[in-house]
Amino acid sequence: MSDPHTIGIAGLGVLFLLLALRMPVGLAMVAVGIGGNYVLSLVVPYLRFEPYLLQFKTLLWQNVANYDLSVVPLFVLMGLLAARADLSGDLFRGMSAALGRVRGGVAMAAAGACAGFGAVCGSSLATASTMGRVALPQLDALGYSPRLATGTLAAGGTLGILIPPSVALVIYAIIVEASIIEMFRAALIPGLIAVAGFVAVIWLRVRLSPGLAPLPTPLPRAERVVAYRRLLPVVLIFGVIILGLGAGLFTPTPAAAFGVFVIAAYAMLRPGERRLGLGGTADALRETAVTAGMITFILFGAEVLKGFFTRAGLPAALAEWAGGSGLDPLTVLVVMLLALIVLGCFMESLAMILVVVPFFWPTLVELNGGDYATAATSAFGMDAGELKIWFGVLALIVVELGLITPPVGLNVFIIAQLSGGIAMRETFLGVMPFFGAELLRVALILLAPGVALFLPRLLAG
Amino acid sequence: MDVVIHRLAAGWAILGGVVLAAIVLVTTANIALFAAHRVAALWGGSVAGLPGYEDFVRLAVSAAALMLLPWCQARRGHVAVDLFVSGMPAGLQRLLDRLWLALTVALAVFLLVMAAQGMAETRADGVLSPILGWPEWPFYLPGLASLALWAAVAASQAIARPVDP
Amino acid sequence: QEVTLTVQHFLGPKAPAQTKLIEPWAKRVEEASQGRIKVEIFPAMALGGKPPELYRQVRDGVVDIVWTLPGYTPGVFPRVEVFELPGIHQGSAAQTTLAIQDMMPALAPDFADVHPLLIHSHAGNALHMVDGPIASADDLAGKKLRTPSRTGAWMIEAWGAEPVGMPVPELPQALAKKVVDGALVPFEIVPPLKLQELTAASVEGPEGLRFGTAVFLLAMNKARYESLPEDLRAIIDANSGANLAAEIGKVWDDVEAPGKALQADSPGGQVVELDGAVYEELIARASSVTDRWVEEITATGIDGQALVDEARKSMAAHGN
Ligand code: NA
Ligand code: NA
Repeated sequence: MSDPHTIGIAGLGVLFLLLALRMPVGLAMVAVGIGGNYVLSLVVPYLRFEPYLLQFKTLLWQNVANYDLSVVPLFVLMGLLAARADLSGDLFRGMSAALGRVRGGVAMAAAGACAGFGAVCGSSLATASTMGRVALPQLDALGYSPRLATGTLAAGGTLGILIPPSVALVIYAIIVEASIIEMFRAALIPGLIAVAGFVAVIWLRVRLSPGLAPLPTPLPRAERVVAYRRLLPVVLIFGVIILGLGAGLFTPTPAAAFGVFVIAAYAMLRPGERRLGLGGTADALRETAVTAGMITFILFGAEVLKGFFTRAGLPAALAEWAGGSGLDPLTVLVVMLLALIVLGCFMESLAMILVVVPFFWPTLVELNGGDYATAATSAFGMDAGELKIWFGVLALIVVELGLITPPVGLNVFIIAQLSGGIAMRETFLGVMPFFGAELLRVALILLAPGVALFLPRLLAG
Repeated sequence: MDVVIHRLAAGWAILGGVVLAAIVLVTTANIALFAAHRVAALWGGSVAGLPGYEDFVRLAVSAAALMLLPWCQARRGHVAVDLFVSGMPAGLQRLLDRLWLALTVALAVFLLVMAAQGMAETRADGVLSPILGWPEWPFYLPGLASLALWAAVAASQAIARPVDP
Repeated sequence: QEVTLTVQHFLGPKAPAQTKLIEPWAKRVEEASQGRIKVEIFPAMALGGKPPELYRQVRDGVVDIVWTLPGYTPGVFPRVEVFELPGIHQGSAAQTTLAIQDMMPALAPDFADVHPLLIHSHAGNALHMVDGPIASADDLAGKKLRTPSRTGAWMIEAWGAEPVGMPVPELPQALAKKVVDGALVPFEIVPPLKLQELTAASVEGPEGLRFGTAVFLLAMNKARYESLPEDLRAIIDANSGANLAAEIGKVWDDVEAPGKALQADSPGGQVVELDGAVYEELIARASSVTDRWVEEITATGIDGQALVDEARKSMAAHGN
């Protein structure tokens, strides 16, 4: 292994060290990127450092002057408007009214509402915290066990990542240059399977230990009618956005902008005290700034970091090595997914996609038989375009699992904090059965790629 | 002073939100025109979309995305991973925090200086957006102001008196 | 070796730009210098940045050599845009590339900040239509067409159609959803984007005449070039400009055949050569583009009409 590669690997080590020292993720990526290029210029004279710095005259602006990128702040805003206007609450209460006759039904409604809201929200953390605020007090008042309640909400927060629209899917598509629409199509069925899996987990747990959930107490008719009446517009709005994107009826930016428009119009024009005013709108805009600003910084950091790793020749070397190693492609893929799960215990999910995918992706393409492999000649039985989609779906599921695995599980932290006084350990224990269901889902998609590829193939062209 | 910077960052983020709202309205108008075109096409007619729509979105999002950064800093929104640090002595934690804030200031100032040169060059080169033919350099201005404000916010955080536990 | 030159471009490592232009060039330079020059190629923007930044990168010396499109930064290369105007380029990359070399003295101010190695064109834009071919110039009225360039958008407007700008990777989706009714790109783009599955017909003029083209720039950092010892500089010169033009022009003409065959052989797909009169009518309607361009560029103090006249003359000198 030659010097540039060693520097690249050392850079990776320094990155993890800085992250462990609680350096902001975007800052750590930029610091390692610039510092790494300096060290590299000492060893490889033709990669001169001073000209390299001149890139920064335009790098930031060109990074954000991107038509596709516009969907990120728009999706974030859409979700926050929906939360501000309490569409999340309408969704949960409506589904509770429908499922209230089943034992454990309100927890199932919470999982379902997480999926629905997570879909239009696009951020797992925002989903967990929004739905946690809405559903935890309700579950608590009804007498659900804290372990089941907090576990459901922490895990439920991750459901939105695969149900279109999803910010993580957009970012994956941008970095591997996949079609955003095809990613959305591919993720829809696996996303629905996850919801079904979570509902099954709740049903089974309540079945095995009925003490976890109270006896069902159906709502009085009048309250039920109100709940349904408020649910209907939410289902219509979310349904149009999710199906419109999932089926590829809209392209992403128009869908995101239209979603913001419809939700804002509904929230601002509906009569009564639940109308969204200027103050609420301004709050939503400021919250959008926090989430979207964070994503913008990390995306820029990833661009700087990429410039370092590729100059060090690391991704290409890894791909070349894997291509010539005679390793079994499926084994390599499983090892990659396991590595993502382990890394996910410690790392932030967006940063993981951005740091790790540029290494894994070229390696997989090489193992598959190169950029121009056809379905017939390739190792995985699909061309590079489909591999991109299939791997993206798998990678995003396992990356998101990092949010509910100890020791660093941000969804668990948020829910434990919201629940006021429940030990973090309880929430982690409550999450475990859902984690198991997720592993089964990964196995299913791994063994039957058609689960992810069915819709893109059906709707192609 | 801190209060002023904080308010500026909040107001600037709202302004960024207004740019996002402009994207939403222009896009919605374009969708409506596209739908009208589809309907008109049934009778052999046609309705024009907004010319240079993609150009506009690209330039507008370049402004909006950067305008969100200072408020994100003000709210400590730039995500970090807390693995061991919360178990360290409070003094050490504060030291690390200030160190990262100082580096953030340095980065924002560095990017500001570089981007100012980038804008001057873009202006001298006469770069135009492809369809609308608008000069691109003025669209660096929101970014420059955002970087300056970002640096100011981080600097005020770096020198703020420690909050006693 | 004494000198390592870095080359960056925006396409993948298997794209014709790398395998048929940059790699053979690198190999020849390395061999001619007997190993004193080594060329390191970085495809897909591996050294960082976005494609529109390539020109700045070579000007600043971030990389030593880039392959890019002047059209990525409209306004920066006012003169060379003349070769993208409808009616200048005919149907052959070789012809246009040779004509560009003849005109280098007049075009030179565009490239004063870099050392141009080769300015060339591709084989020209054909019209790829979702719903089938056109029979007359009026058939384009009201159609939404993806434009390849700034002046391409003017040409589309002059046809009474509507120009839509979008990055090439978004084109398949836009065609599938009929966000656009067609696109102006060369056949070279057909295989990677599978356009034969998305469009019913590809339309060009009689005998392969096209609707304008795109100009490309292979350029070296100026200071870097001047810092080379004289004998190495001579090797670069021997592999630049007019010495390279005929060969590279042919590469870009040859790269059209596979895409054309894919469209012609695809079920429900066809390649249509327009009737000569219809093609002439389309080019005639687009003559306002040239007027608009001349007017705009003359306002900046450059004699636009002289450039158009000289471009026509050079093209005629290399005509069949
Ligand atoms: Na989602
Ligand atoms: Na974790």
